[in-house]
Amino acid sequence: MEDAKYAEGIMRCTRCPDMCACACPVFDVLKTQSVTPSNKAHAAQMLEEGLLDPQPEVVEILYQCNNCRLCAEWCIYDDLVLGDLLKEARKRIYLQAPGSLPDFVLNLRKRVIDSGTLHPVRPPDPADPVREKLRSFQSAEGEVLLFEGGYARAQTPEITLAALALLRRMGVKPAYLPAEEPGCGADAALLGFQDLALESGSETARFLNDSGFPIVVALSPQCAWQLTEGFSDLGINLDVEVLSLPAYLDSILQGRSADWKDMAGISIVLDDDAFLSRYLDQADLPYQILERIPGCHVLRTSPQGKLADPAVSYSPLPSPAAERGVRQRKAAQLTSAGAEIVVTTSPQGKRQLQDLLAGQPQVLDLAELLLSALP
Amino acid sequence: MEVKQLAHLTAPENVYREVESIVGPEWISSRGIDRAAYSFDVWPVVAYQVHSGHVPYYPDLVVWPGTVEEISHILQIASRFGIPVVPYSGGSGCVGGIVPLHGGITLDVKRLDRILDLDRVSLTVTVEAGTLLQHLEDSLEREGFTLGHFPQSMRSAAVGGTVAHNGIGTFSTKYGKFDDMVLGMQVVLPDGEILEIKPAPKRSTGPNLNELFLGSEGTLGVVTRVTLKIHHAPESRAFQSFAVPDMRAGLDLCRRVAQHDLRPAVVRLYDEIEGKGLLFETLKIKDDLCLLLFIYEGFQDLIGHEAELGKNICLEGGAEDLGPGPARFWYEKKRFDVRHYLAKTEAPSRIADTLEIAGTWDQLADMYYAVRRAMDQYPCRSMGHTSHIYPQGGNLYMIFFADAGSEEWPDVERLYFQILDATFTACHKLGGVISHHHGIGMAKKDWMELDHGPAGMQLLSRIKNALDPKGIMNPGKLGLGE
Repeated sequence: MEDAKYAEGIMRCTRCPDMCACACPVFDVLKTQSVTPSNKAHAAQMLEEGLLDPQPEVVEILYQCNNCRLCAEWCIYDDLVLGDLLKEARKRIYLQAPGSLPDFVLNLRKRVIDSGTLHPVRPPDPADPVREKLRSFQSAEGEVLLFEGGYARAQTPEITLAALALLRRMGVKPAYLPAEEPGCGADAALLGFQDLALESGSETARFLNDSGFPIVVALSPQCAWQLTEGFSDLGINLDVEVLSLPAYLDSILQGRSADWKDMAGISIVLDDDAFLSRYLDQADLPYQILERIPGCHVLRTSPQGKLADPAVSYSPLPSPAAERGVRQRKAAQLTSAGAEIVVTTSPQGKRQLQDLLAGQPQVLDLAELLLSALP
Repeated sequence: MEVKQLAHLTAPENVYREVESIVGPEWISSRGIDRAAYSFDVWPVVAYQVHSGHVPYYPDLVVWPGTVEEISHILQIASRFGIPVVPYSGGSGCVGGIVPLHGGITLDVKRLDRILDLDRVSLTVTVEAGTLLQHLEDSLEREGFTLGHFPQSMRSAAVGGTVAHNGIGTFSTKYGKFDDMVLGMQVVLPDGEILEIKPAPKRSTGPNLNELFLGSEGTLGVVTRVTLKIHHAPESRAFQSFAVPDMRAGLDLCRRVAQHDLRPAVVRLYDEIEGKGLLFETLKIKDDLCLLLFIYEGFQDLIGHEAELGKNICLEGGAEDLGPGPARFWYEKKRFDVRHYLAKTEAPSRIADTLEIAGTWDQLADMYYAVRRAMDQYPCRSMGHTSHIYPQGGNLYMIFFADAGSEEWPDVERLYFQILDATFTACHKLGGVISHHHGIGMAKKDWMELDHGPAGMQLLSRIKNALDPKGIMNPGKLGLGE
């Protein structure tokens, strides 16, 4: 981000009387003025201008962000996204004062290097029958390439399996190359690790550009965004079209009718995913898809639609209590709808909600639900 | 003190340990970054200093209690040690009310954020003081109700602070001021005693204790819970916009509407300067006209009739009907838009503020012109509007954008207070009050005696001393001694 744009952006946020504060899930959970949107911007401004030394307690403020972009939905300015400004602030502090990074950030960097994701991953079960089935889908041939993403590959193989099976049932032959697929660098970029983001992103761009597939379907909305807008920000050129899974499903469903089961009596609530809703601006797509299923009763948690629900945290927060609080808040909103099934559109969202809700209600990815709705 | 020095300050160890034993280590801080965050609100004088890296006042400790009992214990500790306590909820005030002039403990009540009871029969809601107004309204809206309280600050303001400065919202002409909405409350007094004021629609059981704490700005205790009136969510809205030749004519129409017992939810009369942008944006009108907006909302069968009566009054009074457009545009796009306000102060020598004065109809128009003349003596651009009307009078938002940096006015803070003095002097001469709803805080404490007179100030002091003999609660505010 250019210096002038960055400086103007954080100055505007700093001086605003917190017109987006009601939407910030981190502020709502932590309750401290230090993490209001304006004070987060203020911390960035003071670091940029040298008014504050980059001590860990100050630098930590830059990471008190859920990256949900709800701030942008309430912002009084048309072209300002505080989350992006904080991401830029993290990038700058990493470049200018790497010694000031709090331990939790350094630990996250190590995790990204070691496992390709910000999130803790459980060791995969080699005897997992899902993984066995997935092996049968591996193929370099197809109409589209499914981009799985590092987190899904490590943690939610059932979503990948459902997506592949769903595409085949819809008459699309997907290619699937888990062994060759590099990480897109989304998590590294979120934390400001420009070097890691560029390295991963460049490798991924080469992989996709050389793949021969004109269309890449990204399982995770975060990957879909990184492969498009994120790569553009990094100056990485991609010659393929990248679509989120809901966008691709919506496009093929428009051209053909599917023989859905009647889902009458099943109530569903959709987990609003930040990257799908507010980064890709595709909040309505899952609803449009679900409306095609007869009897599918989709409940809303709030009259405010996509403004209502904060995303489940994609970026681990400095405080485990804050992480837990944000997710619990999200889970409470979803369960308040009284639906039998929570439908997610991101692998991280599914696993985090499953851990929180402990089976009540059931949590399914959109691909899993749609597959179950086919005869 | 420069902001980077805050990190090196220590906290009073004995107080820290005692308070930490009450709230737990997670909910107490003496970190520099927290002290800085709680050192200012939206009042431009202090906010500008802090944004520039200078923190004139800061707390020794910030505490986030989780229960009323914890608050009670903390106040007992503070009382024992003689430590000042500044209650804090949303921090959205614009007069420096929460600035800790004498350090001490800033007590943030935002962990008390539950809606405790929604009474659908009596139409009341009982809510904890740390609840953000937007969250309260969202919750009510889900159930088909509304508080009817929509200040521009509602996205960061909380219930406790609204009681503390006796706030008001843009829809007040129908739903009332906050003091109209409050039925009862719970307050922790400076000695730690917990006071319960039972909710009732009306009482005649001695002086109404609710009124003691409404507008007390944290000087008499910590508000922890409030019971408020609510309303059914409106079925319908009607938008009306009119052009009037000047403020005197516009204020007279407002008076007639109010005295006809009509209660439009929103009334906004902009002068020729402030209304110009909205007139051009919506209707491409460039003429120097005042813009008068009404929004009626409520039950379908009632508002249609009310809106028709209001329209007739305006047309008979010589107003030009501009249709619903500007009023609807304000409602949908402008009511939370403060960009223009912020843009005009993006320079170190500039400062802006809104002085919301009030008066009775017989003087209100004269007051507008007198204050404009008073402000225009200084290097500033002034403008104004009214947005709260009553049968007996209304308020005036007198806005100024001042520019220091000249040889005559090198000091922006001195210029600011000079404009305030001229404004309040002009207001007082015509019988007006110096604050309609923003409160006093640090900004206006030197003019309190204009409103209350010596006897009134003495009485306020006596009340303060009776409740807070040790003077720990937000000392230095409301002009009640240092």
